[in-house]
Amino acid sequence: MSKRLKRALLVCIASVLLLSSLAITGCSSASTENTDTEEAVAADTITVQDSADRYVEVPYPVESIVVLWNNPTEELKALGAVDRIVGIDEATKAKIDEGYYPELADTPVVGSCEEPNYEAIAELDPDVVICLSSYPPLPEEIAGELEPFDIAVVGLDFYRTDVYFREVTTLGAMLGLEEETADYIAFFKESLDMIAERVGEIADADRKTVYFEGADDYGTYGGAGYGCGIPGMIVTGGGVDLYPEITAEWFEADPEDIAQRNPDFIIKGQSGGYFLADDTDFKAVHGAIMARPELAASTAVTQNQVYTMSFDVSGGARKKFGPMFIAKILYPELFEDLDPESVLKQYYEDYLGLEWQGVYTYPAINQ
Amino acid sequence: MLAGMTATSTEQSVRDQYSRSIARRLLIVSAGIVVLMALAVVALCIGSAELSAGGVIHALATRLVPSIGAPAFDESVVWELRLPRIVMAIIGGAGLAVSGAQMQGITKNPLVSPFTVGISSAAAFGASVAIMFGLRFVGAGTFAIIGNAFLFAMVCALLVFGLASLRGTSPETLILAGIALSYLFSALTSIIHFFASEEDLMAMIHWTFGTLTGVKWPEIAIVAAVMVVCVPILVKYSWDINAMALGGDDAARSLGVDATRVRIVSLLLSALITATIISFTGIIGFVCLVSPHIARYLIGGDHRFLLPASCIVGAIVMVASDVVGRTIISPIILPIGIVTSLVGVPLFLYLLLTRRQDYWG
Repeated sequence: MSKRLKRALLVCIASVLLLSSLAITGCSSASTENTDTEEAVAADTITVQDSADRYVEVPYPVESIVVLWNNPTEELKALGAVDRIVGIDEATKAKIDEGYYPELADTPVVGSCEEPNYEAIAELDPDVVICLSSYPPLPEEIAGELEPFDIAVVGLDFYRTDVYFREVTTLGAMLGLEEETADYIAFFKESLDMIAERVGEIADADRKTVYFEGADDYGTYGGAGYGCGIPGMIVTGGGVDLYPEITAEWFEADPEDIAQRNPDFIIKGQSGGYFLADDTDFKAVHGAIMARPELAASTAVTQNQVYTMSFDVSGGARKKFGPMFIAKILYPELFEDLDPESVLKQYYEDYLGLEWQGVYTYPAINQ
Repeated sequence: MLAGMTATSTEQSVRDQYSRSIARRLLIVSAGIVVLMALAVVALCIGSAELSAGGVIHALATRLVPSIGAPAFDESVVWELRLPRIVMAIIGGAGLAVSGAQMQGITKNPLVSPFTVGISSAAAFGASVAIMFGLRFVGAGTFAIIGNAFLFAMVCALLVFGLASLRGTSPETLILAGIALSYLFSALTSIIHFFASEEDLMAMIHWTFGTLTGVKWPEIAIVAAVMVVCVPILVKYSWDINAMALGGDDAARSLGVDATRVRIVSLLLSALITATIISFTGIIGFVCLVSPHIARYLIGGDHRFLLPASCIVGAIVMVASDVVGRTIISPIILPIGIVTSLVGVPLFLYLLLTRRQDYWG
């Protein structure tokens, strides 16, 4: 099957999925109410299920949005709806200051995700506020504050690989951009379905164990709870998280225990990526892990399977790329035809309007 | 003659009483050292890696006599993971406690510690600034966090000293200037937290928890060197602080004690010790406040004995806290800044409730 044909097929499948998902989640592209007066009142709404398991009725299509985290900003940009953002949070502002989303440079800031300025949000009078689903203040609390102003609140995270497509589908439905969303999902599904199919054939005993360390030394992520999505990203990439039994989202791991569990691979997450001119910093981080005395005899170090990975491909809304990079690192022989960086490049160019640049792993995965 | 004999006998009795008191205190200090050593041995044998006591001894000896040949893994665990954190716990605990005892002595206030005068808030601000500006990479970045934390802690100490000296460097002005700066640096740190990214915020908060994980021998050497220089000077002031505590500044002055000088030098050296330790470990606040109190319960307020006793209590609390922190919910390490309170408070409350005499003063 040619790549183009495969892509078209995926778009069709994604469209069907999208439509069925809308039907399941009680999507009610509501009726237009005609009144006896001359002024017709358009009252189109849609009911969506957010990631906090709430059913929320929002205007359809949503035309004005306040984002309380930078993940929805990126997804809105990718779906071509960044111009519908009328208010942003501090995290999005920080991204703008870094050089992303120049079109939002003059958009008002309405506080942070932890401390939204409800008065400022009410003044902007958006159709919907999109916030995180499980970090306080929770969507229900924000909705309570904004209820007098008739502003809907939807909790969508965009950082968990297991619900990512459902969340994007929900977003696309609210925006009335079902076709664009289907195309967008198909773009990722092509690679992710391939990964799922191939790693599905790997026996549990043959799967590689991965110790993923955050930017803080020995800080890692528990795989048993809702978490930040990194353990889920490892599992989707065909790996086994080193701490699947820990429910803590983030914790300081005992260095002795890490050595004792003897991971096959060590991946050190690091900020920076798109704006890095060379790999000097990532190389230094890699060298520091390789030099840890307690890991000297570990499989990861002895077999040179230690990587520095940018959070630009493994953090926040970019966790959708994580499984691609992880699968390529863990099973290069299975994924010779997968080039995560070219997928990322296309994403930058086609969806974010960015030029290709940056450093994302050390050592480079295509060496 | 009888009166003379009675006076001599009373003098002898006082001397005997004094000698017994000194002997008792020396005994307590010695017992503390034994307890600390025993605890250190236990700490060395406990951990996630399954090493027997024999294996630990084997690994210890291998570094000294390489021909013995313990497994490389065991040697790394003992020499690069457990021993550094135990030694840092001992030196760091001793340093924080001696700083606390000295600060309480010069301000004659049981609620004061180097942290009360803003050292920890300033260090947290310095570390947060370094993290905020992306200085978290190894090499230069690691030292940027340590250096910035140290720099701001010392800037705070100098500001406290400068502000207090405008009003005669009295205990009250030291404390109030310190509290004001503490709030200022806390507010500045909160502003940085507010604007920080998710990853940066996590790193900043983790730094404030305090940890002994990842401590390296060169860092221990730096802390030890600062202690070797500063602690003898603080101990040298013991008589002076005793005089200031018993009779106030005026009485001390009549005995030839320059109270202002003692206060300034003690403040700056205590700040230097604390800043050096916490710039490497993050904030570990409880030890320097409560260890001197525990020591005072055990040994009294004589600074000649209080300082060494505080060192030992601080070291014991830190080593015990570290053992609890890395074993209680293993493989997760509970930050030592949290555990010191969990371990130290019960001990402190026990002494508070079982000792009858007023220990302060």
